[in-house]
Amino acid sequence: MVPQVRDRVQKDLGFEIEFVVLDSTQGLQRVVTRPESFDIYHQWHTSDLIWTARCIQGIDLNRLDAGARIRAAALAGTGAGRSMHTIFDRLFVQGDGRLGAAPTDTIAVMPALHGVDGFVWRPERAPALRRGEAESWGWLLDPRWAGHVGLIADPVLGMIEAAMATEVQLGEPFGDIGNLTIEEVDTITDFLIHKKKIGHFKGFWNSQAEAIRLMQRGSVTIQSLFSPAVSQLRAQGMELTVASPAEGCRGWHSDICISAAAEGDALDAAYDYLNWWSNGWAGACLSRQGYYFIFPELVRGHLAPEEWDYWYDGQPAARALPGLSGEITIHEGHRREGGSYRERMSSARVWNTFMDEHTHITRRWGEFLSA
Amino acid sequence: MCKHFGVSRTVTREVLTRLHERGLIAKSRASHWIAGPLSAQMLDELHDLRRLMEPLALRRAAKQREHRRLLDMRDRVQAALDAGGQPAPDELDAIETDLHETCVAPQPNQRLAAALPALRLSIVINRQFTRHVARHQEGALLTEHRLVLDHLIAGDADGAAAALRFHLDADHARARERLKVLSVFGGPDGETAPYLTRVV
Repeated sequence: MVPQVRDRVQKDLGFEIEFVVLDSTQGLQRVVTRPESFDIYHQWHTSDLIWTARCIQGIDLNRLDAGARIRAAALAGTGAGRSMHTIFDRLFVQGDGRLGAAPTDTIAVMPALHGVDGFVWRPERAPALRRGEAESWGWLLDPRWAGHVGLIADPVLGMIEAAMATEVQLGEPFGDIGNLTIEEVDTITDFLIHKKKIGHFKGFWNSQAEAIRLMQRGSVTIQSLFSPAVSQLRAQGMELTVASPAEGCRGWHSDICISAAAEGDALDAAYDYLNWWSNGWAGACLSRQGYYFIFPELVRGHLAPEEWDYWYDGQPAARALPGLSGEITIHEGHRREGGSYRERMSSARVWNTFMDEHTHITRRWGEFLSA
Repeated sequence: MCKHFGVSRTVTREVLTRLHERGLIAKSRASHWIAGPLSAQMLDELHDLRRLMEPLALRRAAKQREHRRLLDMRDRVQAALDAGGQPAPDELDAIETDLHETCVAPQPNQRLAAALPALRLSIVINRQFTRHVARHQEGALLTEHRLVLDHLIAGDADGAAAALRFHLDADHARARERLKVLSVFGGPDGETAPYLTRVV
């Protein structure tokens, strides 16, 4: 959690909150096996998994300030709701205890943030491109970039990106990029291992800080990158292009969940925390690093008109715009790649997810990283 | 393996071949024997067969079961439901054994009887899930079991077979979801046999 949000939420709510970063497999194991060890969990792509494990409890829509909005967005099924079907499709707790799209009074997670991730490249260091060549995930495995490619080390996200790149390079489409079969995973990993052995990859990153370092050293000129890291590199003056790949982007959403073990005062505090998030202030704050809040209309009042125009409306920055901590990250006249909120979200082709064959993916990915 | 079990290479090779035939181990490219991991694909393939064979086995076996025994099985399921639907691992094991082994056991078709055990992968997954995940809820599984037993108690073999197929399909969907949860846990817990080497 960024310090700005951390400080503000404790001040507004009047109680202390201990924030713990759990981005590893061990963290997820803890969430699944020990719900009493947390009250609130900000999940990124594990909502079906943690619901199956029942380590989170159903959230009563009637206790949420945004309850009516959530129900309306799910029912609308159009516009933002449609491009975000992945968020709403498995949101409501159905009569049989499973998750589904039909609105009920109980949701498994409270949607908060989402976005699309792509890769970035440095135009002044790019190899010769064909005239009018469209940006493509295939570039990540393209021989023209050999030796300058960085890759995310995490298998969940990395496999999705590798799949899109392999599809282009091998010229055969996979059935469902968001749920690869064992055979497809093998095809991708074999290709990656071959590429690794001929020195195609310059580095692998486990954190945004590592990703930033890879690019700062100058040797990596193309890699996938999250928007906060893009902002940071830009603030330091690096010329970067965020690709809008022809194949579409990798979508993500982050939602807030309540522990199955929370009850009494802890449960009341958890609802206070959720409702604090739905006032839009935190969403506005995180919009300055490129995230979108689930209800853009709620963040609008917390952003300057120029910020709204740039981050959500796809317009050129009317003035230099600050990032989270006030430093300038967007120069006057810059236009966000991919366009407006609506345009960018509709480019989500595949969403971060634990695939059915996750174990096989982890095993083969480990083999690739150590090859 | 030879040293561990004190058997000859021939016996060991025979065991490995049989495990291989059953799809429990496979040969890697480097020619090592690899055990696991469980995959969703393996679950799907076994379920395809099991949903055809186990209801058939239940129908064939139905006439030979003792009524009293069935009532006891139903009581056990009902007790677990009344207690909130979160049976302890051993209790869940017993409930699974009642329906999926004991009820199909008096089996005139020996080939069918021999084929069934290898198809019950979802039971293994449910067991691991119960052991590792704090708050499993087995209400759905228990109600489905009860329905099959009710048909058997009433002497309705076809109804029992249909209810069993419904249960197997539902259980398959649950096992797929649960396998995904288990996939966040690394390898086996505790010590593994000395002849096994961790590859990932």
